[in-house]
Order: sequence, then structure tokens, then C-alpha cells
Amino acid sequence: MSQAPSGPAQRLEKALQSNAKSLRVQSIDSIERLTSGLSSQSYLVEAITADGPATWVMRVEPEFGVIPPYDITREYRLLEDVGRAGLPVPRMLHLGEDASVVGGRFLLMSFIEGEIYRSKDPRIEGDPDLCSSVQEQFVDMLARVHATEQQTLPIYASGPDAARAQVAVCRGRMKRTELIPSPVLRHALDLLEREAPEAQRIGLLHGDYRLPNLMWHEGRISAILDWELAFVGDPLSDLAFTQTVGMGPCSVEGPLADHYSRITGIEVHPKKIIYYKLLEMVKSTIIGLAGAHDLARGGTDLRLLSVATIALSGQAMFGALEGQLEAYLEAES
Amino acid sequence: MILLDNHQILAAVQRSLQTHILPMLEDDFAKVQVASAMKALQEVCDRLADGDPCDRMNADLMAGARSIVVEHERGSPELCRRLEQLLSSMPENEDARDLNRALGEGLWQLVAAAHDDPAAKGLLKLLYDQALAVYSADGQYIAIEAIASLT
Repeated sequence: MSQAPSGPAQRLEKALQSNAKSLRVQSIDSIERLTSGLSSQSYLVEAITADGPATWVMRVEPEFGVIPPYDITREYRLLEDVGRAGLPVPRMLHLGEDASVVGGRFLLMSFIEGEIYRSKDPRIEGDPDLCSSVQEQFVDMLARVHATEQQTLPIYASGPDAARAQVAVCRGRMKRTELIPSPVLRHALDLLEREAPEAQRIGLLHGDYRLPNLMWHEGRISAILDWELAFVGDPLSDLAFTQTVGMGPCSVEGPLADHYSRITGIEVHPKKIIYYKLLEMVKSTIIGLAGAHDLARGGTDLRLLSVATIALSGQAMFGALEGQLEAYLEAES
Repeated sequence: MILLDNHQILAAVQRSLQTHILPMLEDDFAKVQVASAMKALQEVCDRLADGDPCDRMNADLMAGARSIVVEHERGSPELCRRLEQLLSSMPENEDARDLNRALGEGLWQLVAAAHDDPAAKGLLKLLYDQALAVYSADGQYIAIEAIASLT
């Protein structure tokens, strides 16, 4: 009787040889955890195939996580969709449904060469030409994402209901993760529900569009990464996200927002941007609550302590954003 | 261990992690975990020395709410009556987080039921101020390495 393979590399090797024959795997030499990312766990996989050495990235659905419910199948299908539509994303290679192989369902994708800039990166800040090239491509690519057709994510609603659908998702997540009551958060959700703006257009949104989620090669964007927060909604939501704390030179406002409007035809209305900034702060606060909740129920990634703490900054900013939004509402009435 | 107090034990663990474990690690993810653990130990040390911050938050909320009753009892008698009722119904000797749950839920019900009432607005401002105070105090326990690995 043959013995079951013991280590994760051996189990992955066996699983790929059985279920992903097109990869022609001979051996898996190493699996190295990558530090970036908080939600799915990412690993660099070094393999020997019949075609030679190969490097892949593996993302594993976690047992615990800050943006539940996870669905690695959805992520895999969406990346297949947007890749076919022409967006630069890693090529999907295999979807592993057997959680016993590496401790969770997983996807395997191509490794893309390139560099990643931080939100506030001295390489960009010290080079005005690079800065304007990065800014322009950042906005152009965002507009391309918003215009991309896909079949994986459902379109829940349009008009003001597009924003309300997001508020409902936030409420559900908050209920699942609130360890102690957050009255300020609940008040913000009520306000967001009440004042949901009309969406001028509905499109695919990345949901976490920022420099650290873009790869660059020879001065061009070579990949858009981390699609697990993607959804269909008002594109201004993605724009507002770029304006939240710490987004550096790629905060899409002023001339960058004008550029976005020119190429998409979407008006960047300041009141809607404040609305969506508040919504984004609410989302990040809930991610922080989920971090604390995860640790309370058995999570092991201690970075979640810091995430839980930093998410409180969102709550600390609610008052100012709500004040700005109410000032607009009063001026209109 | 009986010879050492809690603070001394935790401080020794912190020093061990800093001196013997962190320099030996090559794996970036493991390094971030140790850096985060050291911040967590620091927070526990501070709680042992200064008390649970949740107790302080509860006391601040109760004191703030009492001031609102005094300030608004003429203009918002009904809400102030309910607020007084809430404060007097808070259990004594309760675990800090259980008390915070009861207090937070109760204050939120009052705010949500009376948006335009001046006392409700005062309560909301009290809650905003508390959120800001908690964030300012907790900032020191953020492990920069943990955040850097995510941004």
C-alpha cells in the first residue's frame, strides 16, 4: 500500500500530478510564504516540470480571515474573466478544491516579474517624470477596470441601491465581527443608508486599488493583483478609496480626477466622493474589527492586532466626514 | 516564578524575543510575527501597570453621559430621563467588556431613536470623542513592521 505524502510540498506535487496534468509537474522543490497580503495566504512555489523549472504563486483560502466569506473559486473565475477581457493579471493555472492538500482550497497562478511601489514611495516622490507617468497609468488602468465586462460577479443593484448594497454587506460583516458595540460605526452605516447617492454608471470595481496592488515592469503596469474585494458598483467608490489616508501621489483628485472624468465621461462629484470616502473608512474599520474577532476565535497572524488598532483611525475620522457630508446635504436642501 | 511579578516575567519574555529570537530569524513573515508579539506584550505590561483601558473608557462614557443629563435635562427631559435610567441600570463589578457592551448598546439605542434631539447630539459627540481618544491611546501598540508588510 502506498504511503500518503506527508509535507505540503509533497502533497501539492501529488495533487498537481493527479489533477493538473497540463502543468507536467515532476517535483515541487519549495513553498515559501510571502509576507504581503493579509486575507488569503500567498506562497511562492518553485517547481520542476517536464518543460523545465517553473515559479508560480499559490493563494490559499484561509480558515480565518478579515473579509469573510472567502471564495477562492470566485477569485479564480474573476481573474480568468478579466484576463480574457485584456486586463493585465496573473494567468490562472489551477484551482485546487481539496483543502487537505495545503490547509485550504487554493489557486495556482503565474508568477509575474516586476516591481511594486509603496503608496508613498521615495523612488516616485524623488522623480517627477516617473511620478507623472505612474499617476497617469494608474488612472488610465482604473478607467479600464471600470469598463471591463465580466460574468463572475453579480450586479446586485443600480442607482442609489448600488451604494445601499455595499452598506448592507458592511452591516452583515459588522454583525459577525463586533466584539464590543461600535455606536459610531452604526451611526455612520445609518447615515450611509439614508444618503446613498445615485450611481451615474455601474461597473466592475477592484475594491482595493492602490499602488501596492500593482506590478510594474519596464515602466508599464504588468499586473493588477489582489482582487478579493472586487465587486460591481459605482466607480466613484474606487476613486474615493484612492483618496483615503496614506494613498500618496496616486490619490485620484484634482487634475487626476479631471483626467479620469475626461476618459470615462463620469462626473467626479465632490459630495459623492465624501460619501464613498466615509463608506471606505467604514469598510476598513470593519476589516479591523474582523482582525480582532479572528484572533479572539483562534487566528494566529499577530499582524491582526495592529490592523485592529489602525482601523480605529477610521472611526476617529467618521465625525469629520459626516460633518462634511451633512454640510453638502444642508446646502442642497 | 512566584519570585517574579507579572511585569517582570513579561519583560523577560520581551527581552528574550528581542535578544535571542529576532536576530536568528531569516523568514520575513516570522520576523513580523515576533515584532507584533513584542508590541502585544508591551500592551499587556502597560495594562498591568495602569489598568484595563476598557475600564477607563467605561468610566469616561459614564461621566460624559452624566454631564449630558445635567446640561440637557431641561431641553431634553425625556431623553435625559431614559439616559439616567440607563446609567443607573448598569451592573456593578461587571467585567469591563461586558459593561462596555451594555453601555454601548444602551447609548446607541438612545442616539438612534432621537437623531435631532440636542442631548442625542451631545451623546453622539461623546462617542466620537471616545473613538478619537481610544485611537490616540492605542496607536503606540501598532507594530510598524506589520503595517509595512501590508502596504
